[in-house]
Amino acid sequence: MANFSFTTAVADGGAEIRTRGYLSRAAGELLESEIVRLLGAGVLRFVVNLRDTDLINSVGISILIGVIERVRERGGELSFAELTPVNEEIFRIMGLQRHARVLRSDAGA
Amino acid sequence: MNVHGLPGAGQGVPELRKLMFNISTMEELGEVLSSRDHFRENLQTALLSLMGSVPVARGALLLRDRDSGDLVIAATRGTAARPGLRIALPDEAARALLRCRRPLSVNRQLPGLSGWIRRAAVLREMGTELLAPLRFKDELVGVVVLGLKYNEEVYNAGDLELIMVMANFIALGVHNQELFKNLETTNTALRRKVAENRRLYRNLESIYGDTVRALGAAIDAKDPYTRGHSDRVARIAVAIGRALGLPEREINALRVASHLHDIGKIAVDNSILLKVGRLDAQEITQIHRHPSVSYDILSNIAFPYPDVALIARHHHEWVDGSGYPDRLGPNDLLPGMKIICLADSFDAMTSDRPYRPALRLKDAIGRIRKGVRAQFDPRVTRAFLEVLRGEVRGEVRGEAVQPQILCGLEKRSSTPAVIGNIERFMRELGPFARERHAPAP
Repeated sequence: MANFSFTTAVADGGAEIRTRGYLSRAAGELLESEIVRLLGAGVLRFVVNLRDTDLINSVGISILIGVIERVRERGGELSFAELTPVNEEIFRIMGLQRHARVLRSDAGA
Repeated sequence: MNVHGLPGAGQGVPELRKLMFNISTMEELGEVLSSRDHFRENLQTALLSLMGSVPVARGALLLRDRDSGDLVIAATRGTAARPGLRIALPDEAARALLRCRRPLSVNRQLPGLSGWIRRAAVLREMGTELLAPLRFKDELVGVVVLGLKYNEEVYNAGDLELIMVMANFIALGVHNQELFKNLETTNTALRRKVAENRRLYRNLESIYGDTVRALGAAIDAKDPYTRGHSDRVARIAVAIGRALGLPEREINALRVASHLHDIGKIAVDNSILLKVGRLDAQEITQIHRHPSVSYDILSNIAFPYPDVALIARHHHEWVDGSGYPDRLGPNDLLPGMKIICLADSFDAMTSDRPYRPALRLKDAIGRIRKGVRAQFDPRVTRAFLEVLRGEVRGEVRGEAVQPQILCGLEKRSSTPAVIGNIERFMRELGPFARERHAPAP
């Protein structure tokens, strides 16, 4: 997790979280708890910008699915932005785009 | 290895991309499962890894309790069921799971399993769609429970294959963890046993040592002038033995022999032992018999250390072959015999006797100097002087030195002049090499 970090910007009831580094278990759980925190604070629209995350492993996918489900349970909406081509293809194969929007740019928050 | 970005894995080849993703997943899973630490956490990671590679949103990993046969939730994701929750698993269902070579859809009619699945409310609550047995050889170690696929497709043959391979991997990890745990338990039990045995052995040694010491004291009590003699001889002899680097077994033999070396004096008439005047030839003969009598008594005892009786027999032998009872030469004398000879003589010199008061330390050293190479072995004498100097020096500096050689006479003997005396004597004898022995196992 030493090579993972993120920043959060909250505006107009939405939040953009920009990640940087490898999205593995510890990193994914960090991201998940940030989203849980924001949900608790009333934020319901999220954009997770993955431009600076080259790699997501299977554990990371699992955690992202959990994150999508948590947001959906609360009636919120979660989008992923600026995926690398590799990650975008992984998302498509795994069917994540059926449950969360995948944005080509990060202007959706 | 990370294969996400390998050349040839470009867009538009999803099968290849998925294959590479799976390979990468397997590699990471292997790493997680081979770790001995944080096993529960690693099981959670393994479950997430499996779920993320299919992918599914709801799943759990259950391990089989060896004692009860129940399945116990070890890791979950996306369900309300928490780790520790138990699901009874009848033998029939366990056998059916063990027979499975592939993950099972719970919607199919499964002999031996369908009834159990229907009854296990937790499985329904978890949205169970698929069961993957965790098998290692002929043992069911657990089950992975998975919900619907997240991409809303049905499980295909590739998914089932991947799940089974990963389940086998996890089963192997669980089995290995159990082996580690058993090994640690065995090691801990063994360590505890060894520690207990050591403690018992030390107790036994201590009781043994006290008994021997008490016997030595009883021997000395026959003669008021020799009260405490055996104990002092033992201390001196052990100190010399250690300075020479003798192995611990020989040191122990020396200690016991020192305590008991005069046991033969019980055969000597008190009138001779306590006589103030000069002894006649007959009396001397009787006195000279005591080492042989000591040997006769001690040789009937099975000591746990070597040569105790022999050391006692020869504590009056001289290195020039003029001692008694057997007039052994230097090559026939064991180190313990040479040591006890010096220790016994030194204590006799520095103790009051019916016919003379105790010698001062410097006079005793002078006597030993005269006797070296005739009565005393030079190497043993050199070691003795090393220890003696250390004690006198410590005393001069005011340090609390545990007396081994000075015993009861330190207060009247510690002067720089004595140290000078000792060092001159040491120079005459030259350096000596300490023996080195491997430590006892």
